[in-house]
Amino acid sequence: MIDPAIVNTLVFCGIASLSSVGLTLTYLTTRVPNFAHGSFITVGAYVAVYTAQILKRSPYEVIWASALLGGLLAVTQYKLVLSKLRRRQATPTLQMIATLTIAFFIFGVMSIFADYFSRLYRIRTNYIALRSWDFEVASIPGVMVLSLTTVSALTILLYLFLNKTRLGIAMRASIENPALAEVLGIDVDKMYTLAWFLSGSLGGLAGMMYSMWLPVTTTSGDEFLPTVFASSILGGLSNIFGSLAGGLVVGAANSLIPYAAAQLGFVELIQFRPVIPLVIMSAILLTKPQGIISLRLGPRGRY
Amino acid sequence: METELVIRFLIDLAPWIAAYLVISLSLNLEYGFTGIPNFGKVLCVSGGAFIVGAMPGQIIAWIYRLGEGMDYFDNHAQIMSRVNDVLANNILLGVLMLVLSLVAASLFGAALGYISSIPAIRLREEYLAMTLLAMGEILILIGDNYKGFIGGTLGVFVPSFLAAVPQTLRGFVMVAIIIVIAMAVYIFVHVLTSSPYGRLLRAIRDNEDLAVSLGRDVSSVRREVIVLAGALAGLAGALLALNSGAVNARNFSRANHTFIPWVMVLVGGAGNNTGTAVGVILFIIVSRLIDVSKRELQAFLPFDVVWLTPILLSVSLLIVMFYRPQGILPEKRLETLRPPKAQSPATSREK
Repeated sequence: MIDPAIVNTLVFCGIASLSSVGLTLTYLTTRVPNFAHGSFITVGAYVAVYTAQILKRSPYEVIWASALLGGLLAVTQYKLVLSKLRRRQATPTLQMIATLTIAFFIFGVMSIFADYFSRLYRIRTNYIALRSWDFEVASIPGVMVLSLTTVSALTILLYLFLNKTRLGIAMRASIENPALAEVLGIDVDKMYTLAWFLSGSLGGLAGMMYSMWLPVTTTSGDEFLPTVFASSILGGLSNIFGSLAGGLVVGAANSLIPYAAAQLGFVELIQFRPVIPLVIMSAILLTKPQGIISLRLGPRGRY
Repeated sequence: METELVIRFLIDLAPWIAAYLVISLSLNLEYGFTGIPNFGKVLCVSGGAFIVGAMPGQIIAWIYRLGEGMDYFDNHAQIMSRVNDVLANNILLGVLMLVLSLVAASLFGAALGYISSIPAIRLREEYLAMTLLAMGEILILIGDNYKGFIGGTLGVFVPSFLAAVPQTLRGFVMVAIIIVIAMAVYIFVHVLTSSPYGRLLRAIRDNEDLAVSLGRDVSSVRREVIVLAGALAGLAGALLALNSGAVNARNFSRANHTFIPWVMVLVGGAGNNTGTAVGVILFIIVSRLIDVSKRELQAFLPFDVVWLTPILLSVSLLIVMFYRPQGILPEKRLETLRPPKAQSPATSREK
């Protein structure tokens, strides 16, 4: 049996890095942090919860649905609200509030579904963890395998996508210089939509992972948001691979520091766990706001 | 009979309107006048409320040795009833403690505002927004988990400061105090924002470079505003605690104490204090009417009606943002004294 602390760390790292890569992707397109990013996590998690509870099937079978729904939600948010607000010359602050508003809209919708399904099927829809639905490979929990594979696959695929495919290069061009990219015949809006879809589906995937290990509520994603912010800021907020690494660091700190504190006998300190991402975030912003990690990957480096 | 019901309805609503007016005015000071996107309003509000929950009861219990050999939180109900007995015979102590609590709540709110502004005050607004939002819920999480602050998940009672006032009058007196404080805050914010300092804030909001070129230290002015707004939000938190008579960390949230004030300010009109007041009154009355008509609506819906509120709120805010971004009452052009009639440049050059 593997020490739960290790699983915990890996799962936290997986969720944090998937989500922060998504957040950074959308930040690069609109230059506005998406405060509704947590909602993609919540939605992805609830797809898994309802699959297990209502359809009585393993959430692993519908992992694509978590990602797809998260992606569609993100595209809807971008198309229906953000790109329209931008066309109306809304200030960055107003755009930020719009994303916060969307987060509350999705919270309301998710709460209605949770309430409706709990009445209709007589199931619990709050504080549900799906650990019992997980499988084990040689006494390693599936969620750990999932986390390891998704994070490493994400790193490789993102690298290949952004550096080796025409689509990825077009996306990077649209992000770096939208006007120039447009002149070259790239449909910038389509590229941004694609970036939002990727962002949302990574969030949905992170949510599915979340549900397999941690109890899910309608505010799960929103509660995870400070961790995601800390990860992205650690990576410099505009650096995709930086935020991936930032997610790994913050995720590890989030689970290893309380664990170490408990091992050393400072059990009381666990209550102050929510401070960890904030301390990391504040330290970075005060000392090196451009992000501590400036990994140079590929010919163009920055992404 | 009818009028009595209406009066009852308004007296129930008044403290909510008053407390939210103070929160929204402080947000208006930050966002409407200075352009600071404070997405962590809940931090200072919860701080103020928690201080009122944690401090005065323990001080009274300590002075009068009411809880000798007992844990303040484990035997909370018992100790609190002794505290209220003491307060019932000592109106001076009650008033003193009430004033002390309000002052402490404001100071704590100001301190929290200062701390939360440190990491990102010099950076771009999105960094500030992200940091403030992340800081926002921290106190709630600690208050909920750590028992020694406000009793953890069980929460604490607020001492009945006016226990010496006859039972029938007590509620009215408390509501009156809350309303007077809110009105004082309104006048204060109004005077402040119409003063030269208010013009400085607008200058920073509208053109930061211009303010810098005029020799203003923009980040320290921003910090002053965050600290001042933090003090006001702490005061508002204290008012919420006084009104409900108990403090529990779980009653504070990003939704209720950050997002709703934003809705009030934006719907009412950012940069206009009267507009903010209109937004607050409108919002509280509408949400209470939804509550009242809940039972009629519930028959048609297969889920709890309360979940319609976030949907209604967010949709109405989006509609306002799209079709009337300036809010119900837009910001007014600042009235300044007409400058004395200057000589025309041509004549002055002739001299």
